[in-house]
Amino acid sequence: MGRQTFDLVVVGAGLAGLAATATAVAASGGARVALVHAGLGTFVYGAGGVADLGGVAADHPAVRDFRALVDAAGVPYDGDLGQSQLLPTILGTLLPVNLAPRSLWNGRVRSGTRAAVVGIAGLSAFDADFVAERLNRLACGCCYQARRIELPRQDGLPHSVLELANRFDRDPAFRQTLAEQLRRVAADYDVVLIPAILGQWSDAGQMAELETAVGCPVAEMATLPPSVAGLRLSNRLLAHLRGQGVDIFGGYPVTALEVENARCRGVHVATPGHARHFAASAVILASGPHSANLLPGWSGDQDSRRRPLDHQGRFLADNLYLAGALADPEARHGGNGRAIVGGHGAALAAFEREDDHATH
Amino acid sequence: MDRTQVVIIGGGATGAGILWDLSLRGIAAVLLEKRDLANGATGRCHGLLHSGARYAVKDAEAARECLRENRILKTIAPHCIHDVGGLFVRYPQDDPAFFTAWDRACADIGLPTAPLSAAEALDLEPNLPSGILGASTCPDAHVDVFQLTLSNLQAAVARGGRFRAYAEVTAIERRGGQVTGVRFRDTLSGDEDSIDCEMVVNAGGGWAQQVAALAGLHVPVRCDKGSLLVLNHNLVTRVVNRCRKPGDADILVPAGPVCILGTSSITVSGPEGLRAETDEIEALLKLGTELVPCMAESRVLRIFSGVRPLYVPQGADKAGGREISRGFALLDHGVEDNLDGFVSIVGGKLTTYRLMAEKTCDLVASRLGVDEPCRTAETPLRPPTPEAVTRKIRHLLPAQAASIVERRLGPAMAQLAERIEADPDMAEILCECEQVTRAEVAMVMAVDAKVPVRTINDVGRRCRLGFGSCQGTFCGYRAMLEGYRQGLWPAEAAAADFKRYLDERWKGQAQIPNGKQLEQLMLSHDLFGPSHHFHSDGEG
Repeated sequence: MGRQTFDLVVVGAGLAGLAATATAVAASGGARVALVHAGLGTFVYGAGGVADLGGVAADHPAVRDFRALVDAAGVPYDGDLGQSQLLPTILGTLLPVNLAPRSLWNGRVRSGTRAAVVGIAGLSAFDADFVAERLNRLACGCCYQARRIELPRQDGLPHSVLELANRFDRDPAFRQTLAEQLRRVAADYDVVLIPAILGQWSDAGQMAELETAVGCPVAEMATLPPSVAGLRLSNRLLAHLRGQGVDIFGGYPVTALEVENARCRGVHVATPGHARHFAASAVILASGPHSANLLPGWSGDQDSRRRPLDHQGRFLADNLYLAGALADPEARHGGNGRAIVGGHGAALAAFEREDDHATH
Repeated sequence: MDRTQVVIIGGGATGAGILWDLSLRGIAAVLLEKRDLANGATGRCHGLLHSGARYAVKDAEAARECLRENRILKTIAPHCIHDVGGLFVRYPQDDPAFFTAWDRACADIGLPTAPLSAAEALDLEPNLPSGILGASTCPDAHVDVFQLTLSNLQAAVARGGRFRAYAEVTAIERRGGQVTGVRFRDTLSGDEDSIDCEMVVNAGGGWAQQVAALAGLHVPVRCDKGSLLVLNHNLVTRVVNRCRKPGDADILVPAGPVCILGTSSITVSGPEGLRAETDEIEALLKLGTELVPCMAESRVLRIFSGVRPLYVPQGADKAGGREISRGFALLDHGVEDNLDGFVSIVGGKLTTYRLMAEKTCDLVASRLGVDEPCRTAETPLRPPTPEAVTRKIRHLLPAQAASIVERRLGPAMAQLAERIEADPDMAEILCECEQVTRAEVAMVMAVDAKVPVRTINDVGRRCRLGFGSCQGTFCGYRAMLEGYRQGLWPAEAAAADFKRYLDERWKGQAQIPNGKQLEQLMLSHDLFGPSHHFHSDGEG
């Protein structure tokens, strides 16, 4: 059969889709929500820092709700929308952000601090000397020194960030070794900066435990993909939403929307073995800038309720909403704030519509 | 003041072949290249080792040359050649009169072909369209142009030849009617230098006209732009040619893990600043889809353009790009322009680079009074790999990496093994597509390498790092860090070069119309732009 029915189907697990899903769950009170996504959101590459809200107010409910979401998911953000800070990167640059997951935020530039940039022997994808040398040239008021630790190898092989993260998640002895190694380095510094390896699933509690053992703040720097910090954020948000009763179908692309008489009846999903169809009362399309092919006849514009319009200015479907970079190119990665606000708005619009519908 | 007997200008296959040929004859020579090896037409072509079948109908002499050279290169440089064979496919929309002319022309020059029915051809190449009428086999092959150029240089350096990259010749010195040396500038550092010599060979390819102008001479070269598309799979496993009068986009070459479709043919004003136009790319893709229909859904990795440097003798300059001879010309400026010691080798094609080098060096040797014959046709470019070295590498590396690196390094795998045995971490793969290990990158970066590198792009031309679907987004970063660790460049220089590298890679993808590679490109832009605040498109 392969047919299921939902009140809302959200397509895409970037920050727009995740924010839309979370908002829908909170706003609808028991609606059946599905989240269908082919891959991970692009926020994963940069670990989810928010730098730009696209002009909306700092106290926008979307931001408040998002911070409540990440808190509940165990991956709290720190920062202040009114004030930009600089985070060091593995390329030895400084990235301006307002909000970021705590483990990244810990590394923000604070004048007068001494920071150890800690490399791991056998992890070639990160070079502490390179990072420290470049950061020191930026004269940001911090002093960076490259240090190096040794962690036990598996079968004598070089390390990868995923291997280290998985061991951090699963092996208490590994966490202890890591903490001891970092503590030895930390004695001389205000903060230790490490490549992001602190678990794909770890929560704020485990981070705090590590910091207590190390004796100073531990800050992660996102690596080139796979970025463990980004994967963690994605994993924990998806797990949290699943815990909230959302049906999540990961790894499957939506191949078409079923639109009939200006009404979106559902989505077709390519799952292995057989195609599936999810019937939906409303659909939010947040699947990124490369999914415009799902919207034949779309002019590129949308109405005030985020519904895509055709060339005559009519909505393609009265219950189909857009969020994220598909609707707002500025919300592409780097425009995480806009994605959060857009996802939030699309979910509210979807349920407003459903409420209207119910009263008729 | 540096001295040598011969200065060669231009580090393409021809210049490298000349350096090797002269070195074998015991003639001291220095090759100066203004960028890096294979920067011009050599590195910007199909990598098709012609069998001659392409030229059989129109130019029997060129076809015979190709056939001879095809056989020679398969013997002396097997590690540079994937001997995949070729097909000439008969499409119903093409002129049947050409099919018969082609059969006759191939028979006339003794080119070995075998007819295949449509069913047989489809059995070999299922991605051909089902409506084809038939096909013929021919001994076409794929040649790794970077490996070929590099192997010539390495062989020459081992015999005392010298290669200098990023050395742009700024003046050709003469005393009376005799060349006496060249001045050149390091294009990365700006340092100036000079070399005294008895002869100068202009192997500038598309730049031959500019090089000749340095000596105050006119060498008429027409630059004919050809654009090519790199697709991310072997859509075909043999070289597929369309059996018709040569035209656009009628050759598809399986090249390692990818395949290359080309070309267009457009006269341009010079060899620099080449760019494929949008309609040109669309036209190539449309014709490519006639060749192999599934191309419509396949992923374009990269688009690049090169120029065929066509020699246009007096009176022939009205002909269009494909009408001018693919043959080459050796100009002895001592005879033609009263400038002794200056020689230009112009025109020609990759397949005949060795023959061009041979004829050039015959002339150079006779002018220098050296009585050594050419030995490049029977001397392997690389000694065989000792069995023990191959065995050792198979123990140290995964099977796929071991077999790929064997082609690239051959006997030099002994040094690779030494590095990995000294530090097992060096066995890590930095470029997954081309299976390049840290140890190999370190070898390529070594200061005592026969053909040293100065940029990340140079590393790619030595070991193919960054040629796959990530287009250097990941492995380019890793190579930058490896260079930093090896002391090749300090952090700031490393970062600056990596930005240039990204620009170059992004440029090659900028006109990709749609699909997965566009997403890959956006990923690259996003990673280094918003995510890491490192580099954005359009930044200096």
